[in-house]
Amino acid sequence: MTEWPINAKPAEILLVEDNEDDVILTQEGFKLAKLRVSLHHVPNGQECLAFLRKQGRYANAPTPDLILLDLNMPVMDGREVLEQIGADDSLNHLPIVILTSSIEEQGILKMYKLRCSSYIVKPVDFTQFVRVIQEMGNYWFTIVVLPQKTN
Amino acid sequence: MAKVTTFCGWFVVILCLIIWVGWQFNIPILRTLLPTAPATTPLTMLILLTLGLALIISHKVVTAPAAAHWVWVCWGLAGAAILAGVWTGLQYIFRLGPNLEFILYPQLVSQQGGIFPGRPSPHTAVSTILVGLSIAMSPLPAQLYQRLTMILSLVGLSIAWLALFGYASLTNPFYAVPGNPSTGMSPLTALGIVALVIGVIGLRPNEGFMNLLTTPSSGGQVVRILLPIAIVAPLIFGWIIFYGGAAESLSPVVLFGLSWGGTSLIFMALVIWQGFILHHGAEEREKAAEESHRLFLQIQQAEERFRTILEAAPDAIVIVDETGRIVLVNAQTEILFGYKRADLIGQFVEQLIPPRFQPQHIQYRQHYSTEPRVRPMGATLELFGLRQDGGEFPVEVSLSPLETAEGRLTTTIIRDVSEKQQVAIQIKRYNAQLEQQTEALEQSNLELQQFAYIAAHDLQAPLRTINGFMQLLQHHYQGQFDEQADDWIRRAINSTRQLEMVIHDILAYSRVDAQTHPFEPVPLNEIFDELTTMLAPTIQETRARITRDNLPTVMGDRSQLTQVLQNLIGNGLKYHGNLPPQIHVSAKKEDKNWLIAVRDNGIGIELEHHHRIFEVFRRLHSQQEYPGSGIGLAVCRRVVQRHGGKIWVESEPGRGSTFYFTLSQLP
Repeated sequence: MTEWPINAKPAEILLVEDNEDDVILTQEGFKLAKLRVSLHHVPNGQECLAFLRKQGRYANAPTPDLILLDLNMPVMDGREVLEQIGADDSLNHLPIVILTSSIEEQGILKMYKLRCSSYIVKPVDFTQFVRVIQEMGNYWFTIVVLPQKTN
Repeated sequence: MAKVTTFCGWFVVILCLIIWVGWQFNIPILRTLLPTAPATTPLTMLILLTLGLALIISHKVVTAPAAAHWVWVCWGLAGAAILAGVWTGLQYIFRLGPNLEFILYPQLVSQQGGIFPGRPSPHTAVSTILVGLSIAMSPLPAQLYQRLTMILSLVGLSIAWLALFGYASLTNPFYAVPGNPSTGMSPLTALGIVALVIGVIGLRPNEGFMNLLTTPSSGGQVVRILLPIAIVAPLIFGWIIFYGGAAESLSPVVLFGLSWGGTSLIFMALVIWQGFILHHGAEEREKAAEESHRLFLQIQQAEERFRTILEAAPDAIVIVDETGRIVLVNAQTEILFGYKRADLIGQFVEQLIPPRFQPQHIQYRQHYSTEPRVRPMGATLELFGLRQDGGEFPVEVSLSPLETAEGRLTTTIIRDVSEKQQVAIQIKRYNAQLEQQTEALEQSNLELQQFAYIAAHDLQAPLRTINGFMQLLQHHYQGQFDEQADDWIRRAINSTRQLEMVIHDILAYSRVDAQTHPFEPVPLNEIFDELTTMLAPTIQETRARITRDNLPTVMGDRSQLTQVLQNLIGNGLKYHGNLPPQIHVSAKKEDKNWLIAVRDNGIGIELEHHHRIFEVFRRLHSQQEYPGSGIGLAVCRRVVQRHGGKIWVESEPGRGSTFYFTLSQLP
């Protein structure tokens, strides 16, 4: 079980996912993984960008420490989000982990070329999914040193 | 033979010179040959001389193309002789003067006895007129003149011959004027006339009598034997009987009888001899006729055979001469082209070719005649035949030159290939159809594969959702319902796990063709070592021993070949009996391929399953015995097939299995 700094603020994570089932499972997965995170959710790419740019109803939204991005979404898909963030100087330092059920080899290469930080294929088995979330939290919030928040 | 005439001519001239010497120097024997016989008169000598010269000139005219005036010279000389003869005859009949006989040697002539001293005898006059006429006509080539020449000269000869016979047989009237023995044809004159007639006969050795004398036929043979004997025998007989007989003083009747008897005997012998000659000739002729008949039959037979072959041939055969005209055709030609035989013989072969090909064909034919060679059937040219009704049909043609006594012929064999072409077209059509179908099949196969891949892929998301919520249910609410509920939840979760495995395998199987990498050299040693590292936990757990020979480097898709070895070794580890697994990978060169063998000591496979284990989802055991989806070997077969190789198993239950597969060597 991961050591988590008690006094630290919970990490801000933005989950970009259109499928409600997956949102619930991810939230429950984080709970079972016993990670102290604040998980925000937006249903598509457009909302994601609005959240990051604190536009409209996201005016008070925090800047996330990590973005979990699904690829296949309506309105604006994950690839476009990657391109937009990469082109935006105020956002392109944010680590983005792609969390998807798709194993398209060409797609993986493309995503890394668009500078995603990790590409994770969600295991079918929920227990393993929880393990993946634990490993991921351990890696990003314990091992990796993230940039200082500017706000 | 050509020299006979010249010889005779000069013989007469010389004879005349001798007679002249006889008169000039008064040597009686030179004028008469026999002391009791009449002398050759000076006029006779002149006549003979002119005839001798005329003969020589006639020979010159006949044998070589000479100027026209030589013919006139010949006629002039002969004419003079004839006139002298005629004049002498007139003198006898009408007692005319002046007497020509005193021209040269009047004194000497008058010393001679007789009523008409110095005058040529009537025999001489007649025979010289006849011989003169024949010499005058001898240069004329027309057949009428030739016949006359021959007849006149032979009549003249007979007079001279009678004179000689008269001397031989002492038959006075044959040479002398009756009652006046000193006026007659002298033996020298007779010899001269004989020589002249022989000369005339010899003028044209290939015609008439002379031809008969020289021809090798039995007729010529008879003449050559009979004639000299017929001429000489009476003379000899006459001489022997009358001179010899007179000495023995036999009665004339006996002598006459002897003479006729002897002659008869000789002629009997001659007739028998001739009979043999003729018989022999007839036999030879018969033999020759038989031989020629036999040859004729042989030729007929050969011709018959040739015709049979020609007519029985399944192809049209047209024989063409050097000018391109048809010499011979067979029955098949009539059938194929619809012409009667008679309508083709003598026509140009182009009649059998559509007009648009004719000019080219004529050119080709002329070129062919300059360098004829055998040209086999089915060569490159596309040719067509033209029927009488104007219809065309595709043909194949073979040519071969045929040297004959009448010049070079060309044998043309023509085959109707309409059917063959139709079959070819049909085959082409079927092939196109087949290709289309194959393409469609490949297309649908590809679509199915993609469908399977996509379906399997998309099934993952809902499956994950079901699994996730079932596990949440289990995690949060276990023990809060009854035991039954807990069991059902557990079963549902197990089913999702099983389904996940199936989807995983379907994806792996369809990925063999859907997700490929270009071929590259793949060192199997490396693959093996990577695999044993990866499988280390299982190896330890099962206390397995995995070994290898030195394995080759092959061309292939690295990840797929890895999968093949992984599945085969994995099977060896999985299906082991009570003993710890022992797996050995070896390689052997075979022709152009590598034969790779993966041998294990596992439970083995029944012979009846050796083929079926490579089918998709084919499992021989329950999940409880050996868990699995039944896709591993199907993937192996698919990968090996994609690499152009084969895969099979040799195994017996309880004695382990050996999986073999072939891979191409490095180029």
